[in-house]
Amino acid sequence: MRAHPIAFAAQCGCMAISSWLAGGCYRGLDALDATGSASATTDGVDDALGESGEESGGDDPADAIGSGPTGLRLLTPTQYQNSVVDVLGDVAAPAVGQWRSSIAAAQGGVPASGVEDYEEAARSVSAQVFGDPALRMQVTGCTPGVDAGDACVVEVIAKLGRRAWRRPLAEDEVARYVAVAASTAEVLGGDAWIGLEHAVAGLLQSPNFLYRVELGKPIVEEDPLHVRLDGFELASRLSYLIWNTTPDEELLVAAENGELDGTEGIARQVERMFGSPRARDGVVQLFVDMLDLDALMSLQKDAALLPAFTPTVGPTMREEIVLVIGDTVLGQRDYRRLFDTDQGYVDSELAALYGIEGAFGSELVPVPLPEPRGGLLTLAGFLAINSGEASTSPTKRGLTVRKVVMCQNIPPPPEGVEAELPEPGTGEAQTKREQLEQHRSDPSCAACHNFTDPIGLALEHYNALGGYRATDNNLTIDPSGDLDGIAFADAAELGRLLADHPGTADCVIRNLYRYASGHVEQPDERPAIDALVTEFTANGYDLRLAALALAQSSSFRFATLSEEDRP
Amino acid sequence: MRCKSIGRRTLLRGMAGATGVAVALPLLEAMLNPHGDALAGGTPLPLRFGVWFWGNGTNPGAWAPATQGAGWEPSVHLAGIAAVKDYVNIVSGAALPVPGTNNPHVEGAVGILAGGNPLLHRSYAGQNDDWNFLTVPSPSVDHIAAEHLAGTSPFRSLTLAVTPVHTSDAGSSNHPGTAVSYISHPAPYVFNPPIMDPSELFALLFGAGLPRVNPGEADPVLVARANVLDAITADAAALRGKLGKNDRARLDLHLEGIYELQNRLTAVVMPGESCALLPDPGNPASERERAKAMADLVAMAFACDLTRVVTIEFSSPASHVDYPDIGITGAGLGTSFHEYEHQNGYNQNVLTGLRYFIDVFGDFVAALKALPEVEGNLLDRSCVLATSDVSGGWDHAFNDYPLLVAGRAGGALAYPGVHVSLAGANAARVPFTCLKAIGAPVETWGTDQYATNQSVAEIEA
Repeated sequence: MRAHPIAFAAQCGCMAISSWLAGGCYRGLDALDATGSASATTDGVDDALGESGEESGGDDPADAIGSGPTGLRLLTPTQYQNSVVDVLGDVAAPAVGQWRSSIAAAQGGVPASGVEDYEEAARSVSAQVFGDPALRMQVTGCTPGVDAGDACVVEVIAKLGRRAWRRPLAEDEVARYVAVAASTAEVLGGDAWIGLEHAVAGLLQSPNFLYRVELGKPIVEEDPLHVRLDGFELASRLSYLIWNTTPDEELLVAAENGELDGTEGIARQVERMFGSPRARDGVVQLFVDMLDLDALMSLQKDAALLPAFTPTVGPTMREEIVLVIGDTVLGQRDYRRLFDTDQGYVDSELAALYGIEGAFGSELVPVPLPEPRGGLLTLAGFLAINSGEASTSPTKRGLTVRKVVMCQNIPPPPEGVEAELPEPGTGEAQTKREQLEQHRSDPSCAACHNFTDPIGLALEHYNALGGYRATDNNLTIDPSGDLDGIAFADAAELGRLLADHPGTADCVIRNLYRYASGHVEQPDERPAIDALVTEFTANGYDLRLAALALAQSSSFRFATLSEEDRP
Repeated sequence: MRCKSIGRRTLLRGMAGATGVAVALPLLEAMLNPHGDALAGGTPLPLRFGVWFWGNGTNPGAWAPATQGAGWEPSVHLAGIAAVKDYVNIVSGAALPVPGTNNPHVEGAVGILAGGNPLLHRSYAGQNDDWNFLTVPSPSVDHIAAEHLAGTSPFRSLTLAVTPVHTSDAGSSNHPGTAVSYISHPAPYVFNPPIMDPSELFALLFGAGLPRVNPGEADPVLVARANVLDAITADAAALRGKLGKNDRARLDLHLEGIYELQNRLTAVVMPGESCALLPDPGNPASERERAKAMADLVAMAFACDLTRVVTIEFSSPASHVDYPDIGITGAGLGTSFHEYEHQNGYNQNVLTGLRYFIDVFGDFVAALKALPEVEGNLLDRSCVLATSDVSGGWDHAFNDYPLLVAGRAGGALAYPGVHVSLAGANAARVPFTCLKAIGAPVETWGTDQYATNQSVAEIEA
C-alpha cells in the first residue's frame, strides 16, 4: 500500500473550492437554503484550503490509493425508483430490490424472485409510457416504424439507453434492442409502439441499468490493479451521491467532454448539483442509511400501552426527521445543528404526540418543539425505533448513539448474562434508571453500560413511541448524566454536547465515505477519511463541502483492485 | 444453459399465476414403465427435496426414540410424527461442529444448511455483536438440490415462512447480514425471500386456475417476454468477462434467475395423477393452520410438478417469536420463546413448544403422504430434512442434533424408517445423505470442519 494519501486529498481541488466561494457561487447554493440562515464562514474554508491549489489530474498511480474495490453496485430500491422516473418521466415506478443501503447493495445479489420483480416493474412502467399516446410522444419525440433499422427506433433506444445505462450504448447494444423491438412488433401484431415498449422494458432489466458498473481503466497499462474511473462512472458516482438517481443530461455531456477527468470539472458539477433541490435526496439517503430510518416505515408498537400509535405515525416520523435534516445539514449548512435544533415538524398526529396545542392538519408544518426537546435524539422517530414495542430501552438508545452516531464499538453482553429487563408491571415500581442500576453496579456489566446508559437515561422523558412523559411509573425521572466526563442536565444539553463531540463529526464523514464508495473503509483508507474530517471541522461542518472534497479526492476517482477483483 | 429458444415447439398452454406455464398431457399410467418409477421412455419421475426448519432445536438427550433400527416408537417429543413414522428416518446423537466464534444460532443454521462457517459482512468493521452481519459462505442445501432437480418445472424452488422472520431489516445498512433471518441462500449475500401468506402462495401457483391441458399455439406475449430476456442475457454475457471473481458470481446468480423466468415462460409441465385445483386457503390466523395450508399447497405443487424443491422456515434461527397456538406469547409469558427458554430451561411450557414444532412438521409430512402418486404417494419420491439451528436453545447445545428425514427418495432411503444413533458424528452427514438420496452429483458436502464424503448408510435403503 502507498503511503501518502493525506497530502493528495488535502491538496486537490483547492482552486475549485476557492473559485466557488469567491465567485459568488454560494448564491446558487442559497437557492436550497430553506431557512435563509447565514452561510458557513468562508474564512474557515479558505484557511483550511490554503492560498492556492493546483489542478491535478492525479494520473500518478502512487496517488490513486486506498480507494477500495470497484465493480457492480446494485441500485437500491430508492435509486431504482428515482432512476426509472428520470429515464421515463411521469410514471408510477415501484421501489424494487432487497438491498436498501449503499454498502449492502454493493455486495448483495439478486435471487430468482428478484429477477421476476424487475421484469414485472419494467413491463409495468414501459406499458405506462407506451400505452399513453401523449406520454410516449413526449418520451420518444418521433413515431416509430416497423421497417428494419427504423431511424426513430434506433434513436429512441440510443437516447433512453444512454440515460438508463448512464453511458452511450455501443453499436451492437443498440442493434440488440432494435432487434427486440422489431421481433416483438412482428410477434405481437405489427405495432411498432409495442415493439419499442418491449425494447425499453428490456433496457430497464439489463444488468447495465440495474447495476452501476464501476470498472475503471488501468492508469498505466502495466499495473492493472490501479484504475481510474472513467467520466461516465464518475458521473454516476456523483449523481447517486448527491441526487440518489441516474445522471442528468448535463452530467453525461460533462463526462463525454472529459470534464470530469479533472477535479475542477468535478467541482463545477458538484456545485451545480448542490444548487438543485434534488441534493436533498442524496443527503437524506445518507442519513436514511446511517440511522436506518426506513425502520419507521414498518414501525410496530403495542397500541394498548401506546394509544398514540397508528400505522401512519411511523412514516410521518420519518418524514419529520428528513425535514429536520434538510433544515440543519443543508439549510443551516452545519451538521452540528442536527443535534441541538429545537425545530420540529408536526401534523395533527405528531402534534398530539409532542403535546403541542393548536389546529394541525395532515401536512407537516414547522414548529419549535416544546422544552425539553432538542435535536435528533429527541425527535419521535429516533426515539421510537430505538425502543421496544411497549417500553423504552435506555441501553438501546444509548447504544445507537454510541455506535451509529459516534461510530464507537460496544461489545455485546457476555454469554449467559440475562440482558432483558423485567417487563413493566412486575415487582415494585422502579424507574428505568433504578432497574438499570444493577447493570451499572455489576463490574462485568458496568464497563459497557456506563458507556451507553447515561445517554439513554437522558431520554427517559420520552416513551417508546417518543411521546413526552413527566414521570416513569409515577416516579420522578432524572435525565442528568455525563458524556465522556462532561456533565449534562437533560436531553437538550446532551444534544449540545454531542453536537461538539469530535466523534460525531468523524462518524458522519465515515458514513459519507461509505455511502459514496459502497464499502466500509479498510485501515489503509483511514488517512483519507482523517483528511476529510479535518476539512469538515475547519469548514464549519458543512456536509456539502465535505462531499465536494470527497468527490475531488483520489478515493473517489480511483480504485485499487485486489487480485480477486481482476477480470 | 437452460435458456432455450421458443417457437420451435407447439406447447400445451396454461397459466400458473402471473406467468404462463406450458402443460403437457397429464401423466397416465400407460406412459409409465412396468415398475411405475419412470416414464415409458425411460425418463425418471421427478424426485423432490425439502427443508423444514424451526428455531431453537429440541431437548438434547431426551428427544430421540428409545430404540434404534426399524420399529422405533416415537418419544413424547416425537408424537407429532407418529402417524407418518414409517416414512421418517431419524438420526440422533450427531453433533454439529460449530466453531463457537460467532452467534451460535447463526453458526448452527449456516452449519447445518450450508455446511460452512458464517461469512461476516464487511460493514461489520470489527464490531462484536455480529448476528446481523452474517451470511452463508456458499449456497444452502436446497439450492444445490434445486440445481440438480429443478429440470423444467416452472418454479426452481419455493421458499416459505410461517412465523414472522427474525427481522425484516436484512439488507439494510444496520443489518446487511441475512443468515439470522433467512435459511434459503443461493449465494453469499443473497437470500430467497419467503412467501409468508398461503393465499399469496396459492395465487402464485394456481392463481389462474389449474394448468390447462388443451393444445394450443404458444402465447405470443410469452414469446415476446422471452425475447427480451434473451437480449438481457446477451448484455450480461458481454459484461461478465470484465468482472472480477466476486462480481462474476453475483452476475451469474442474476443470470440463473433470468433462466428460471425464461424457463417458466416456456416450460412443459407433466402433472401427476393427483394434480387438482385446491381452494384458496386464505391466510389463517393460527400459525399451525397457516403451515397446514402451505403444506397442502406445496404437496399439490409437487403433484402438478410446478416445483420440486421447497424450503419451509417455520421459525427463524433462535425462535425469537411468539407461538400463540400454544399460548407462548409476549402477553402470556412476558417474552419471546427464545428468551423464555433461556430464562426457564426445559420447563413444561418449553417442552410443549418443542413438541409443537414436531407436530407442525408432522402435518407437512402427512400432506405429502395424502397425495397418491403411481403406486404410492408423494413421500415415496421425496426427501425432506427437518432440522434446526441448535440442538438445545437453553444453553446453545449442538450435541444430539435434531435430524429427521422424511420420505423414501425414490427408494434411496430406508423404508420403513429407522432410528440410528451416531454419537458424536458430524451432523453435516445428514444433509449430504439427502443430496445423495435425490441423486445430486455431489462427492462431498460442506467446508472446513463440516466437510464430509460419508453419508449415513444406516438410513439408506
